[in-house]
Amino acid sequence: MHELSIAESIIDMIEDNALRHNFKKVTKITLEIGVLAGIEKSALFFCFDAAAQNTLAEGAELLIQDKPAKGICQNCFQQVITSSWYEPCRYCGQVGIEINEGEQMTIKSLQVEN
Amino acid sequence: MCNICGCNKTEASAEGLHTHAEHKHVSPHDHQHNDCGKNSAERAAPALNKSRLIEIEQNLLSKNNHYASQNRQYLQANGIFSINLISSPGSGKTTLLTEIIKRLKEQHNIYVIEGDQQTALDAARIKETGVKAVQVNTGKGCHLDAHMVGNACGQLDMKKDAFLFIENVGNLICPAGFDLGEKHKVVILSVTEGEDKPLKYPEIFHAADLMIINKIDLHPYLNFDLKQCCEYAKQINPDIKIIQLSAASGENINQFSNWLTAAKTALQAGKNKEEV
Ligand SMILES: Nc1nc2c(ncn2[C@@H]2O[C@H](COP(=O)(O)OP(=O)(O)O)[C@@H](O)[C@H]2O)c(=O)[nH]1
Ligand SMILES: [Mg+2]
Ligand SMILES: [Zn+2]
Repeated sequence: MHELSIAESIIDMIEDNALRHNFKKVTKITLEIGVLAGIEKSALFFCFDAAAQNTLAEGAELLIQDKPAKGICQNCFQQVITSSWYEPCRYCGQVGIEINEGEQMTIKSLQVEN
Repeated sequence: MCNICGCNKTEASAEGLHTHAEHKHVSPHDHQHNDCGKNSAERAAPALNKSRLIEIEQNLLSKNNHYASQNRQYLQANGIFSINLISSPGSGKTTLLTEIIKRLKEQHNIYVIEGDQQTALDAARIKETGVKAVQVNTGKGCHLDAHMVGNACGQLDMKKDAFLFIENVGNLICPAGFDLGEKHKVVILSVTEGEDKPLKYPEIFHAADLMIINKIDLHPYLNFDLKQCCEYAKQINPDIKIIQLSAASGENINQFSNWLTAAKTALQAGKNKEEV
């Protein structure tokens, strides 16, 4: 599962930030993950705990905030918030929303100690 | 500002630890980093063990995306047309590639990157056709990433204006989010799988420019609903092109080779326009 490589890139990015911001330990990581990013949260929690072992993020809390997906309905041209790739438009009921947001994965913030 | 550590020159040197007059960066990081915090409040109060919050807003795929754009620049600069082939294991990626190579290799230079978790078997199948191939084993990884592809490109030492075919690890889920720098993603589905795959794995059908429905020689023996499958795929991605073919019998394979040569010609026409 690619949750493992995502977890490993979280650790990589924390290590880069530790040099920049001069910290020795991370206690909490806040992520924002688009609902269409294809991330299985339970798998990410599991992989993160494994990847964090023996790093400065060992034992840190992982907080995941969902980010809704957005798109433009190709029928009524309204901006629509959606939670899947093929939901009908909530305004006109047609399928065919052109998704333009919802796949992002972002580290928002780190709670750190020196 | 120091380009390497991003610290602020005047502020940092005022604290004495970071003398930028002798800031030579002979080795990439030969200076002290005790006070390189970007936020000056952080530097002003370096209280020990005090918990603080750092807002970073960094894209988790930024590293991969960085390598992907390097690959894309390299491929574009050399007029190399690349596709990233994605499917479940066994849908026929390697078979289709060997058949396509046989049809195109007289007129074109072709290179192949083969991704599998283990073994070099598929690269060996490709090499039998006489073209250059590199096997990338991802080990526990479930997808190729842009860094692996960049390294493989280095090994291939490609001629200009060639085709580069990248066969991803057999998996419909994970490769979808990892840009390799390719021109097009091509997803393959075979009729021995369900016609509802586009709905079950929408991400990759959304990301792909072309869907190939393979093994249509077997269609008479199965209940696979071709029309429904195409409708589902169009629901996820209205712009997706669809080709139904059989890599084994050769039926409609020319449609795929025509798509490839037309897309490559378009890429090179665009490139020449830029140069004029
Ligand atoms: N009947 C039939 N079998 C095919 C076709 N394409 C591939 N196969 C078979 O499907 C199996 C898996 O093919 P392979 O190319 O290794 O799939 P990959 O895992 O996607 O690379 C092999 O036994 C192929 O001979 C096809 O069009 N028709
Ligand atoms: Mg294969
Ligand atoms: Zn609508």
